[in-house]
Amino acid sequence: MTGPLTRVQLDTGRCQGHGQCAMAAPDVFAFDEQGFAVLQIEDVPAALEVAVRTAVLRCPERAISLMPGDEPKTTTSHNSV
Amino acid sequence: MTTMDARSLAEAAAAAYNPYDVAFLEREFEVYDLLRAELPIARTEAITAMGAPGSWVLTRYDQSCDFLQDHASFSNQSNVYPVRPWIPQAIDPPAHSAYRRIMNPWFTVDEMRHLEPHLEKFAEELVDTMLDQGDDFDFVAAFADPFPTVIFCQLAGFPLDDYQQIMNWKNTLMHCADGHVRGFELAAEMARELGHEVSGSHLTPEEELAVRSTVGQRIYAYLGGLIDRRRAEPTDDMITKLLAASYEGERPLTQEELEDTLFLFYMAGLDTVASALGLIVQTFAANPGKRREFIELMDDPERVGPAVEELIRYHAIVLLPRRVTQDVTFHGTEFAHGSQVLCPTMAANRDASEFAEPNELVFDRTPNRHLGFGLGPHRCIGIHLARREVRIALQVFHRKLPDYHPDPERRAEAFGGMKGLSALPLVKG
Repeated sequence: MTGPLTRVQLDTGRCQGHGQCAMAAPDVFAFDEQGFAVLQIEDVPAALEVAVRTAVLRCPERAISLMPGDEPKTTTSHNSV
Repeated sequence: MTTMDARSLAEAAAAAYNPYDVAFLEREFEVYDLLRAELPIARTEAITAMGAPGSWVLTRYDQSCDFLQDHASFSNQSNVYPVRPWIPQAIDPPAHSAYRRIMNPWFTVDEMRHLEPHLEKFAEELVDTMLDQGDDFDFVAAFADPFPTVIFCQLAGFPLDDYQQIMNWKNTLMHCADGHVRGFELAAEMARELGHEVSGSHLTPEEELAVRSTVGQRIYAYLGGLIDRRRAEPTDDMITKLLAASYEGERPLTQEELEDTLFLFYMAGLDTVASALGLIVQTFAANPGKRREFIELMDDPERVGPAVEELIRYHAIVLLPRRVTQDVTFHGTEFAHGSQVLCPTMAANRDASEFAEPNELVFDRTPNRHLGFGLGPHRCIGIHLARREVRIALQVFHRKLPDYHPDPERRAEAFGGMKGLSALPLVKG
């Protein structure tokens, strides 16, 4: 994996399960059994960045935000935001 | 035009605002643009519910979002029909969330994906039958109405033997006073049956109330009978699933809860996609360039999804009413406790500050955070079914008939409110 990572944050309090994120970036977002979004990965490699940015732009509840992630190959802790 | 003129025009438009009037549809976007520019939170009288101290209509996208996401200030328990509150649509969180937790798993993307072969097959059958009948056809009667409604009856467990009765009751309750030709005829028939002398082309408020109460009672009785039958003979439909469901893992649903949930399925499942399909194909009939652009992209899985979203943005049909739960200041305007506030999603979806060129169909529009399916906790539970139905319907129809135009001999029939078409006569070629 090369290039910087982008960290995705999903506000599960805002998500209502419109499903736009999983359509735009299926490698990053999936659904739980209730149909709400769940993150498959938190640190998104450069190759998926366009898709994940599209997901942000299509979410009508504005439940997704992006921030710079850690450098590749660095271990990331689950709640470091 | 001076600012003063625009302001007085907007005030006049707000005072006269009545989205249930079919004549309003001819200038609805003009009115919404004027209100958005001059009076984005407009006081109006035409939609005042009985006893409400005032009513308001919202036209800006950002304010509509704030409004729909704030379920604590703006309640769904506004009960506009003389029937019990529909579950879960007319229930607020936290009970709303408990009901949605029961139903959400039945409407997921995966569940709806399994339906796809069935949707395709049924769409093909209907289109073949429609096109076999000659050079002209009514797209609404032959396709837009039966396609989503038969599918929904099958999912819910409403027997297709009762289909015509089911649709008649739905049209009577939903469309007795919005310019829907058949809805009014059915309601007038029922009003006469109840001893009223209906004259002219609309019901009096008393007649409307009598008809709505009566048809509501008939629907409850019908649903109650279906529930009893399914209790004796379970299948795999939603009635059976509701009977097996547990509220918060504590208890089964009561007979009233079962009826109130099926009542909502009945109303929500039998109108919305049919209306959207009618309006979309009417636009394509009048605009061959856009139709060809859609046909060009409709078999590309990457492009068809965003194109369908754009069609739903462009043809939003839903008016979302809420009741104010306490005195509240909303973007600088005081709303008194008990006021009614209406969010016409079609107005928010044409706000140029969110959607560039809002009156254009831009099939790859990004971002496209439209409100066609609502927003917040009450967002349409059938979203994944509706998207699939719209996509498959448009693909199948246009594969079989890429060229058509409006019938010059017969006019399309529109209705207001939760708007749509009750007839769309088209001609091949």
